[in-house]
Amino acid sequence: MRPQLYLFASGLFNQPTPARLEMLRGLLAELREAGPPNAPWGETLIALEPQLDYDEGMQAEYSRLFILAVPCVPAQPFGSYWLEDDQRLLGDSTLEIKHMMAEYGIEVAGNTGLLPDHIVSELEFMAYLAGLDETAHQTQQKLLEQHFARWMPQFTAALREVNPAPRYRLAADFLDQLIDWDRLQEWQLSSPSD
Amino acid sequence: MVAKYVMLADTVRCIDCKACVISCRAEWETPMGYSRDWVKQVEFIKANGMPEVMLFPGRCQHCDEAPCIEACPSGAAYKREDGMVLQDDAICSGCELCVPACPYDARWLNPKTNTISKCTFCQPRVDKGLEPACVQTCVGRALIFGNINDPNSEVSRLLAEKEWVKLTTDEVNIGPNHYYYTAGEAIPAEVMPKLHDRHLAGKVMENVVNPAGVIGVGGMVLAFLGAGVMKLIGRRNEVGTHENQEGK
Amino acid sequence: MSTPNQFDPSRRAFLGATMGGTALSIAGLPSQALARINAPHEHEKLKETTEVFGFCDMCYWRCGLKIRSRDGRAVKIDGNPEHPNNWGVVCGKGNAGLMVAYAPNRLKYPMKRVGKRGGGEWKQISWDEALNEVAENLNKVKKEHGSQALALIGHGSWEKPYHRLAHAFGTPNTTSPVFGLCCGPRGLANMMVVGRNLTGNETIDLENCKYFLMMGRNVTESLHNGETLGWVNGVANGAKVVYFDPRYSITASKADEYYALRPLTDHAFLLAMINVVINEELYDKQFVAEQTLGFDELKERVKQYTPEWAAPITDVRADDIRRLAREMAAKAPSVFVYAPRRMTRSSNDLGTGLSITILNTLFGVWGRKGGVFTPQKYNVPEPDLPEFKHAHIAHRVKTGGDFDFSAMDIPSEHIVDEHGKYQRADGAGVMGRWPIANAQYGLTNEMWRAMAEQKPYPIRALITAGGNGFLNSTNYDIIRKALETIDFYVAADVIPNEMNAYADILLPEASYLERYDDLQIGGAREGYVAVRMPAIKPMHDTRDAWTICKQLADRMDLGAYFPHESIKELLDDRLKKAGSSLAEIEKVGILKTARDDKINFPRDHGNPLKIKTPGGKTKAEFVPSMLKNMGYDKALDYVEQVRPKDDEFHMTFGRVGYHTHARTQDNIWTADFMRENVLWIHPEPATKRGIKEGELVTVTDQKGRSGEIKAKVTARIRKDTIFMVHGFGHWDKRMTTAYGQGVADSDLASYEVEPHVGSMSMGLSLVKVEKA
Repeated sequence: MRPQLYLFASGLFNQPTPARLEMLRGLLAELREAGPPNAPWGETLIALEPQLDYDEGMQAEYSRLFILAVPCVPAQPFGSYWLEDDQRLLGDSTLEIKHMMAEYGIEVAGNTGLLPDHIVSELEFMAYLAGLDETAHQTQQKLLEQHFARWMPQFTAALREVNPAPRYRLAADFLDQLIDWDRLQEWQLSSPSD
Repeated sequence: MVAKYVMLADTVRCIDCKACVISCRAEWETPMGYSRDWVKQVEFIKANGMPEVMLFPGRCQHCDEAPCIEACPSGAAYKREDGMVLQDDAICSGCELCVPACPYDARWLNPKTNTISKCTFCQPRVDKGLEPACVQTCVGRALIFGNINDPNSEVSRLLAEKEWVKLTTDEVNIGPNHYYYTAGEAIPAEVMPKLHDRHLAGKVMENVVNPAGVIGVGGMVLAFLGAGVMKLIGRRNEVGTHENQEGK
Repeated sequence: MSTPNQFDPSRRAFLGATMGGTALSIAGLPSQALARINAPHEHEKLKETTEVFGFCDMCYWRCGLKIRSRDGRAVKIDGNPEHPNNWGVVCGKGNAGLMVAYAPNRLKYPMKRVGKRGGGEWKQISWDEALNEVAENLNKVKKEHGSQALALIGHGSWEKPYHRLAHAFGTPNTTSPVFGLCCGPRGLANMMVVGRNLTGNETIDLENCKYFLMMGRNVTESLHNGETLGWVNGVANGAKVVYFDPRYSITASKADEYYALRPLTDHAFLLAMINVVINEELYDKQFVAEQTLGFDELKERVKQYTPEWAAPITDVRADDIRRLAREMAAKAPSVFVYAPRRMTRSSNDLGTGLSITILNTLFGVWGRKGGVFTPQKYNVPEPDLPEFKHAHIAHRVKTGGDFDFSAMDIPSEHIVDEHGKYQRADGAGVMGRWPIANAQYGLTNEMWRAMAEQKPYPIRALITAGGNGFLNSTNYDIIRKALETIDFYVAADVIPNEMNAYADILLPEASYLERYDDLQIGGAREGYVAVRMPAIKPMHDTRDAWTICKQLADRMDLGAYFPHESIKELLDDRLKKAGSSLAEIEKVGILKTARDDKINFPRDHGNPLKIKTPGGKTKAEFVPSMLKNMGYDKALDYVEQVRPKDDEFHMTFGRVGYHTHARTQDNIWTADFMRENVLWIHPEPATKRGIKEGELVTVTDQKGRSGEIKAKVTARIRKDTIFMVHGFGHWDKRMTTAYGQGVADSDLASYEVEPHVGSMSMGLSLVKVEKA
């Protein structure tokens, strides 16, 4: 179910088009039905369900939060913005993601206008890796620990600060819950149990 | 004859456009808040009551008797035969003992790499036959770099042509290889080298360098207690605390 | 549950002062990531790169570049050693151009306004939607009001296709701030007297000049690489520098003599110089006799302007004026009276410009070594295009609507369009309004006024291509009213700013590192054509100006004006007509004609200077006939300038070497050197007001506009003058680095109109300063 989880997270932070929301609703149903039991996002998904209908007004909210707004974009959705000391885009951390993708023979499609370390690209990349066999495990760990865990909590915190619409408040919750859960899973796997 | 590299700064030609600083930042990817080179603008009132402005581009002076090399317990700081004072990143532990040792404030700990960063005279570029990045971009052609042992080099010609001075004082005279031309104007105290309190030449070094030399790389860590390692531990503690908070 | 790291939305502001974000990110590293810290790194290796050629967009000098890229990313901008604009050097701004591409605050996708105009609410739309919407709205305006109801304001090295599009659309109302807000009066003065223009890339033989009389030309801080390097070389070659400026700038520190001239009185000083040169017969007698007109009239008119008259006005002693005139004459023609870059200051900028040109003409600098050279041109024809709809634009087909300041843009030829109905709304080149203003560039200030007041006829739509109307002009009320009045506003730019915040549709331009552009054709000692190539793929969903304009043209039945399928095809077509090709120029970046002293310095080779003035004369006109016909020759006479009362100051502003206009304050690399501007004030008035270094002061002009800014108490400025660096005081919070830093000089500078040219007089403001 990890591919679906990350795909869902990715979709939440992508442009809210009617088609994409339909996909999100489908994924949500799937996750609620067949997701990991006792996962921390149970209530978040319940709360999200009524927030996933297409609503034209959400376009402006999406822009305000992630693209362009007065007074400013509060939550830049690029890893390098949070990881590079000069807040540049296309930083070393971006290239790292690009190279990781290249190792798996993939890259961000040219027509999306997205950088490899855009939150949508990164999460979708994780979904892709999660759908592969065990060989991708190390890359997933690197992605999780050296990228997601280092900037996404800052990103979601920034998002919460500007009083986002419920969909995006819940999306932030879901992302935090997913990353924490995934890291915990890994920690439990790699630590000797007592 | 072996080359000996020097940098000339013709302060009359400098316009403080910061091209050298940004060029260096781009070439060597230095983090924000740090720079390997600089331009100091000094304002003062002359004896005749008129204001004056002088500009001093600066960087590591690649001294003949470099105290940073003396201060470095690991051997990471070294001087090449051609005069370049360099830093071996693979060895540098980031202990920062060399930082106060430099009276020109040319060294700093790069937080990205945890090693010491400084001007290398663009050694990798020079080794490929290129000019240093700051020299290549210098708008007023105020920076001139070259081999002083080559009598036909531009630096040799310029050194013979004009009166150049080095930034030295009675207290600090360690053979810098960076020359300045000021058209006869006295150099303001602000740009002169200064000994730092934390650097008590010789004393601390003896205690640190000797055991490091004996014990070798593995044991060096012990010798660094009280300097870099403490800081590193401190950092680990911070991370630990942070994680604890996260756990709550 | 994870708690956020130490998030601080304004943390960018701390960078530079401390290790800021870096420290945070290390402290916040999960333990696994610590392994990276001491791993060997690549910083000290010179990595393999690929190189492409370009020309710079960080200011308007447009230096030749070589851009190094690695792994899909531009990593270093170097100068192209072959380019006459910079000979391989690149300034701090040019080096920081990388951060234009990598800025997080860039415009990334086409956006449509939702909610109130200027309210800052947007939604992302596709390029198709955006272009359709623009085409529909422009066609609607054309249908309802006529094509003249569209205005275009361009300000960037890539604005040309927008001009072509607007001309094809059929409006006469295209403008660029360079004339009305910057160089207009001095360029116009050159034109009127000698029929050529010294703006854009100046054609001064700097290396060989022996005497620079610099009227506030702060060439080291308002710097253009090739010009500055040439000047520094000239000084090193022994040129004497005499520098006039109320402020002791870095250029002043390089000068042999410095005069803290009273602000706005340059004209008085120059008239006295002319007076001495004529009375003591210090001029180039052969040139004056053979190639000039109106000498006797000039002599008569400057008779009253003796050094004794000028001294109390200018604070320059009469004997100094006499001595300077004699010294210059001794070095002529290898001398140059250097106008300031921006000369929109006093209430008689035309007169100041005329007196500078006249003095240079008396010294016979034209076409002489060490004076002003005659540039060469590299002839690259424009593609074949249909006729443009307006007669006054038709003769511009040759340049495709590109700027050509030196074009013989004789106003009388284009003051009426082919229908005889619509003249330029800003009045540039229009009889009875601003007939001598350059109708190619127009008067941007008056265009804003036309939009705000909807006079002389309605302007209902606006395209801006780059620029920032607020911070580059000085009447915010007019700009705001214009932006709120029109029906439709589309803005194309790379970065968000205060002006394009009002747009209905925002078109994100690729940065100059991500695109091709039309060719750079310039005239230096050698003629040249240079190419801009993309160093990296566009990072976001952005397009280049030509592609945007072509796609708009196709949607408005104007495709014939953009006959090529792609910008590359256009470049190849043009270059092939010039005997080269795109493939060929991409290898070298620039094609040049050979230097030729006979062309550059005709008068050193026994050939007369080729002259054709707008008045139709083949000799230089000391009292230009065109001005005389219109009564504007009165500009030759000195006009009293404002003077501050006891508690007031002249408000002056200018440049620093590492910021351009209002465009680089949000560039994190240049902002690192100067994040905010400060107010320069002399220690004496500062002490009188109890103002200490670094303290916050309030500065207020006579119109009641005011701002709070930190004081720099320095003897480097006159007691009756304050100064601040231009371009700060941004209030657009999207500029996360520049926001709220310092004060906008443009909100304190005056906005009176120069009475002859129609350009802005920005230096007339008198301000009071108090402790905040």
